Amino acid sequence: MGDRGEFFPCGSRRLYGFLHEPRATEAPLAVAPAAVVFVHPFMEERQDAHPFLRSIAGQVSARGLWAMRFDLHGCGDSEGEWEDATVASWLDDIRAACDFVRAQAGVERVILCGLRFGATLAALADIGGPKPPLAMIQPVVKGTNYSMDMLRAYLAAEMVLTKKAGVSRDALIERLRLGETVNVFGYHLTAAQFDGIRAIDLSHSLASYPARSLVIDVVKTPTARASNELTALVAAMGPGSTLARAVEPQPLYAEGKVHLTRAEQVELALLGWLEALDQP
Amino acid sequence: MEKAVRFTNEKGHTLHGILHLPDDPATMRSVGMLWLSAGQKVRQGAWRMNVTIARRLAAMGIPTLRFDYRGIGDSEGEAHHGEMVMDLYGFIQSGGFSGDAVAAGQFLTAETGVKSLVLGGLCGGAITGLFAATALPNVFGHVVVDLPVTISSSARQRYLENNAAELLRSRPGETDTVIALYLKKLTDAEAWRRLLSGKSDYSLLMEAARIKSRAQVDRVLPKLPAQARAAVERLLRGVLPPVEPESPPTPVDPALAAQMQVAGEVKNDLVEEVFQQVLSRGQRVRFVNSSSYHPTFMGYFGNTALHGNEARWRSRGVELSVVPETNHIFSLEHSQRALFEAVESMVKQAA
Repeated sequence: MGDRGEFFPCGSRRLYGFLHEPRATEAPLAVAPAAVVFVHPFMEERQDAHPFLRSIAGQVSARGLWAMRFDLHGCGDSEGEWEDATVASWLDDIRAACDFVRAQAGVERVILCGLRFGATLAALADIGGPKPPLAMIQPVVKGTNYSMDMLRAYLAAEMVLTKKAGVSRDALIERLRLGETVNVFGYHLTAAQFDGIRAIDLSHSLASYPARSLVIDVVKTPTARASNELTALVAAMGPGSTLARAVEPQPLYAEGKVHLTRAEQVELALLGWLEALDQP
Repeated sequence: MEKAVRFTNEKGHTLHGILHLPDDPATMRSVGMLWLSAGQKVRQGAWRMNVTIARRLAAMGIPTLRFDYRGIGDSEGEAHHGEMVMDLYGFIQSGGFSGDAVAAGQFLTAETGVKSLVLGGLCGGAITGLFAATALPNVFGHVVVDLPVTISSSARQRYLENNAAELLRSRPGETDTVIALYLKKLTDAEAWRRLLSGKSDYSLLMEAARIKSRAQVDRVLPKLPAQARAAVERLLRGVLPPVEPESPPTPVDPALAAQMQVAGEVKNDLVEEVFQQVLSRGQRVRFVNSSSYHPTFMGYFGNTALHGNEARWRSRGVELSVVPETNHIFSLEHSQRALFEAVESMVKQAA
């Protein structure tokens, strides 16, 4: 059937996914047959990261694996409204995507790969059976920091428009407590989302992770310092976890001056890890 | 109901999109909406704006298609990898994706059986719609949101940065541009390094300052008695000689023009041309501007193309509204509502 976009069920909702069929254009990876399911980053980061995830998925399928990109509840083309989604519903979506790709591809083995908060959700998802191999590209480790970044984004946008400092972060949190939403670049962040995100701390949740895992630290220059947070995360996850470094000229989730659609070092790191996945 | 669809463009690339249909087929109207994405971004748009608009229209019985242009999102085609983003903007502003929009309009018409189309989009989507409408036979009208009326080019920006002295000598009226260039460099570490190491072109800045000072003097001179004026002229001859006449007046605010030029942006003459073609075909045009973009729109297009004569343009099916306190992506609640209302009012006219 070839590469294709289609909707698949997740409870009463439908989610949109894009399947890349394995192609024999390059030497197949030893880990085949298997499928890699990609989990996207959030809000506007999803838009800017789309070309990179598409390219990585294409590279994976060129090496003989199934690859699937999909949109979480209330994101991208999937059904539902953003403000109705929660961390729990997003985790359900990842399981549904894995079930769908297993049925479509006829493979049992699924590997999860995510970028930014997508990586965080991939790490927390229960997709049935033992924990899967996991590749995380610049994961959000601490939800508290990420949730505060969202509020900061609101405040920055307000300041640009009104040319003056608006409400404080505490006032925004108070609004959430009163049942209001906070508009983060057009997405209406709810209290349930805010609390769900804040509760996440991967350094605790992933301690002694039982499967192989890869954490990719994306830096701008070869001399850039390694992320202390990601180094500590890999140490906490245990001996099956690998930290890789990818030098990319622009962020993978924000618009730069150059229109880049490939992150070659990230692709190399991921493909290399997949190749060695079953080696002792 | 939403369907994942694919169709081909004139180059044979497979383009992927989502077709939004009314849940009850019996409520489907004879007008379809082709909602075009901004350009280098994927088909959902900022804050999923495109998804929300399409769902609202489908609920009104209007089948709506949104899709990824060639090489963008899920669609096949040249991906423009490694191009300067400004050049990709320039490609879009020159109608680079209009062939895809034409293919999409034909697909929407064939797939749903609608009789007429409304085309709409934000920024690059707006201009792509205008270009495509000249090749589609069944367009009723347009919802044109923050229409890009200038054209971007990284080459122009680089040329300007590397040839500012030449620009100043040939067009002293562009002094504001040179000064804006220097102001922009205040945030550039490399520019500071050059300044501190003596490698900056001070003479250029001095020349810009001289021209600005002379302009101030020229404003005062005519108010002086003739004898005093002649004395001042003699005194200033060596220090502040007269400058060449300014460039012809333009409807663009000089400060805005300087900023735009520094950003590598100049008026896009194709916009007025394609706008006239669309009107000559009897298509209606509803312009919607964010308050933050409106001055650029008026300076580079509205003041000349619309002449401020609202009544005359209304009679030709052209309307313009400005949404206050709004950014370019219309992300705030009041601007989201205003955008939905503008789109839905055009569709109601068509239906």
